[in-house]
Amino acid sequence: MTGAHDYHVDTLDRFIHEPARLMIVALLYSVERADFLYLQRETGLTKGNLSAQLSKLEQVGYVRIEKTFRGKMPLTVCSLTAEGRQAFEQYRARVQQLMAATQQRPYVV
Amino acid sequence: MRPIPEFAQRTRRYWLIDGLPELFTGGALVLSSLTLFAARFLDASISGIALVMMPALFLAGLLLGRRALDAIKTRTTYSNTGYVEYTELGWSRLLMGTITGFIIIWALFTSLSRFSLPSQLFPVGAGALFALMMLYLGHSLDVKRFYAAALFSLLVGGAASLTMDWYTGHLSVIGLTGVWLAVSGSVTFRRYRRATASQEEAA
Repeated sequence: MTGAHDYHVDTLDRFIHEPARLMIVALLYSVERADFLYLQRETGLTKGNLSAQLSKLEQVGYVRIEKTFRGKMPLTVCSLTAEGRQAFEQYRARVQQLMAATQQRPYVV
Repeated sequence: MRPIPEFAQRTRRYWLIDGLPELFTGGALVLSSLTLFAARFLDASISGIALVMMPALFLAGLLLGRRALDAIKTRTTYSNTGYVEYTELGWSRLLMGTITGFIIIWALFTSLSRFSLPSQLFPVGAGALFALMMLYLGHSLDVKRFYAAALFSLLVGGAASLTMDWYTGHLSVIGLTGVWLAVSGSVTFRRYRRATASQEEAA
């Protein structure tokens, strides 16, 4: 059952709703892990902005950041946590629900 | 900022950005066709065993090839344009996919012989099968060079059906499609290296 509360815009997850963070989360959702360079190239964000957004997502527990090596190459690898994955799925469902409700156009006879 | 719906497709396409997977797949196809061609001149029991072992060899080659490809990509690609770890298919799905593929091929050949269609149609059938796979890849990943590969497979299949016996024709389709993929992969790899080198210079 859908309650009236479900149609409130403020029920959207604000951490994911911000455009830069939404891009990062949507990108990480489609992979297992990706490094900083790939995320920067794909999102088009500056190093500073990407770093700041990733830190915020890490603070709320949506993203895990690991410093690792692949051969001799140092990597900063990011991935969505189970909580982040679930939060994005919920956000997507909520947006779809809200958008579906806007399809009805009121009319008078 | 990029449109979000493109992310999944772009991420899948990123695996092909350097042309190395095509180069490897092409090489594997050439090797398979040469092996099967050599099997023709071997004792029937040995070639029979080789044919039965093909799915297992294919699976082992796929896994080993993936590892080797990953090692090369670490040196050439990940350091230049970034590293992505894809969700692995897992043993069961990989095995199911391989078995399904072989069942489809077996069903195709059985139905061709059941309806008493001339064996000359086998090479064009193989070419059409490759063409369908390439078209699917080209369409789903929006990679135009696969459309050219699809057309080439179809043309080779047609030509082989008209000029060769079914076995040689069939192997020619596999081998020449492999050569096409290997060449296309090499060209893509060279372009990728040149593009990333000029980006480094610009930075």
